[in-house]
Amino acid sequence: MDLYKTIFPILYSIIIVVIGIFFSYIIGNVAGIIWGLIFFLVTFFFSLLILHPKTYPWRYIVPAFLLMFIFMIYPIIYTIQIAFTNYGTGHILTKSQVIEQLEKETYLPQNTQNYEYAIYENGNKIKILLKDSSGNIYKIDNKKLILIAKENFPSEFEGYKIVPREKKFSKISLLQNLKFELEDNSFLQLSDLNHFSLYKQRYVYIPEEDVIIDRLTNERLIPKGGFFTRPNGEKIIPGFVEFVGMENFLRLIKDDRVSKPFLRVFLWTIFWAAGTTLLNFTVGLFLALLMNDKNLKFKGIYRTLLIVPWAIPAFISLLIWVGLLNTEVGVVNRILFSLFGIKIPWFLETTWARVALFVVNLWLGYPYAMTVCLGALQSIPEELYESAKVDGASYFQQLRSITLPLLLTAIGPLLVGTFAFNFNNFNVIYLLTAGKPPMSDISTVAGTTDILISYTYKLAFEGGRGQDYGLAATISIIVFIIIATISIFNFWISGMFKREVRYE
Amino acid sequence: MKKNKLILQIPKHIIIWIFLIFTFFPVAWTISASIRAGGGLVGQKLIPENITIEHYSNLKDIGFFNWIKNSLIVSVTTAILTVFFVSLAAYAFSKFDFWGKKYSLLTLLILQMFPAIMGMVAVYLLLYHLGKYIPFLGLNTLSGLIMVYLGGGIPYNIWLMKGFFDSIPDSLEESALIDGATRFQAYYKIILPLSTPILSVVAITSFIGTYSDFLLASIVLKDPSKYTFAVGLRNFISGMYDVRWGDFAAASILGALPIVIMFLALQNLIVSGLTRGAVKE
Repeated sequence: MDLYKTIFPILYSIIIVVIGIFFSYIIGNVAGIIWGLIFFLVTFFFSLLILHPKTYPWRYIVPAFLLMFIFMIYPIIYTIQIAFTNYGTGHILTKSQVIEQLEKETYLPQNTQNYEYAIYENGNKIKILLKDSSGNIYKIDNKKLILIAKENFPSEFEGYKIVPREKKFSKISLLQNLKFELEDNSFLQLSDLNHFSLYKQRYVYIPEEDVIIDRLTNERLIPKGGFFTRPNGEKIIPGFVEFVGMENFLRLIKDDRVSKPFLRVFLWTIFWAAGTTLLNFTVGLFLALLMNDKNLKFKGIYRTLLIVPWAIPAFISLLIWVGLLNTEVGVVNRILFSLFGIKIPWFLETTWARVALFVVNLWLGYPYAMTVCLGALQSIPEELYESAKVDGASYFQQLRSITLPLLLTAIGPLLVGTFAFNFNNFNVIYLLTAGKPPMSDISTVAGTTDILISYTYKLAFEGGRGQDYGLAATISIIVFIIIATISIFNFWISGMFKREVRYE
Repeated sequence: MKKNKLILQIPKHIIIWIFLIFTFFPVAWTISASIRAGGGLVGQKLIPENITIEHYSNLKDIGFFNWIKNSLIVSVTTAILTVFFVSLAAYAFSKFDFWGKKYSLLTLLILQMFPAIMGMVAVYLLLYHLGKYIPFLGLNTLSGLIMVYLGGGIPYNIWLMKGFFDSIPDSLEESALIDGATRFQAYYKIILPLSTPILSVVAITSFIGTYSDFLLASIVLKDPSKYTFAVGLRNFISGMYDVRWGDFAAASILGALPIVIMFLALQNLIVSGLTRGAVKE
């Protein structure tokens, strides 16, 4: 038993350290050595907490925290990091990966050396012998050309048999990928059907000056804007990920193509979140007042039936509503047409698309509002109403001076929470309208009903002109800040911080 | 007087019935579409002219059962692992005093405000890179998706469960400790059995939340054979309402039914879980 008690924590902390090393290695590769180190220190610290008898309770917590660290906190930090880069289509690789890729490119210099060749075969393996213009025959060994014969290719060589001329061209596909590196940064490659030629490495990176030399044109390529750039401004593809400072944030203010749609999306997001929250709670409160009546028959059944929209997974209801609201053949328009002779262009005009969003989100959201209002109403002491009745107060006077004030203090934090939820209500926007209709006067991925989070999604995952992870992450950060402010405000008004200090 | 009250209640019933019609409007049309002969939206009537089960028998061909299988794998695993990790951590936060407790709790409180979707760009890139080293945690894997859900749900659920554990008197545990039980034995022999209500709340809300998620699943899963129900259904119907409406309706109903039944049967439990911390008790 005692043995178990000493061995267990040691084993446990070793496992944590191993996991830590593994993930630090990966994170270090992905996000840079510093993040890898930080992550390693965190896991190492966790394993110390496990070992130390006084911090024994951490043994229960570490698994949950480790998961949270990798899949929740790290993405938040990573988002912040991406926001300061140009990460996106055309800028996916790191700079050193781009250099490595460019340094593999070769070119054929003028007056290069050409060689005739013969193929030798031994089973599946092949070898090449080369003959230069003066008839010297070479083999390639250890990055060098070694003279082995003159004038005629031997019929056998190191156990390999020569492939006769007529069969030679059937092997040509094998030769195309051959690339023999020689000592002075040159390469032997097939240049036409009958010759191998001496190629030179085209791009050479000079770390001290941080430039690439193009040896074909003798130009200096300078890293600029995420690309190696020629003196005439031509960019070398692929580009690389680069730290760009505040540029993404500045684009939100200064670059018209970004700032205009961003501002519109931002204003609509606030209007949407405030509007739909108020609407849902007004309706929810109204229903709760109706239902908060002991004499009402079928109350239990009504309540169960009315929360059905809450019970159905939202994505299903939303996809159904898209069908029902179809302009041409949807049920809603057919009913409206037969009753009033009108067809509403639900998803084609901004105003109607927004009306559709409010109505459908009311359908999705009023059961929750009703339920919490009902709960809050039932917690208001009966005696208050009784004494008000004795004083001769009417129903509406009671509502105004007892019910509403008490209710608002109880559901205030919930209103704020619902606002924050709708601020990020991706599902409703994306599945119902997908942000459409598009903004007619600006060329952008954002539509007139897009909110910030769906705009972010489009920038990152379905941009028509490629993905822009940097800008998407920047907008995520702005959403972070807004939501954090709202939540802290919420804790403050609900006195949550005070309540929690008690648990110290 | 009594009669008066009853008459007064009639308008209430009328208003509630109007809302019931609003509530069941999409439900009724979907049920009707799922049993109506002919697939499109065009000319649909609430009471179908010809009844058929063809849409339900089509479900196998459109991949419905594969979506549901993937959804269940992801949701059930997420629910079980969430309960496992969260209950351990919540137990420590509730029953011990230790170094770092206050700030950890505060950190959790702040972290639970951030829905996982705000880090979606980073989550995508993280899985993209992770997949190169650990293939089963990469993009387009169910296990990678599970990890993302798992990480995101931890802070809120620790707080929720800790609140419940706080209400269990310490004396129960203490008597077990005196009888020679270890702390861990006290946890799983005393605390866990007493906490089935909260364990079920966390399990069920994680299950439903995961089952209903569209965004993260759509980012992570690219291969149609890996689609969960949400991603599969959306890709199936998107832009095809005029021809696939019937099959879609059948899939919607079968896919929603288990969740609706579970939700309504356990509504008090779930509602108390979802609105907790809000309505002051």
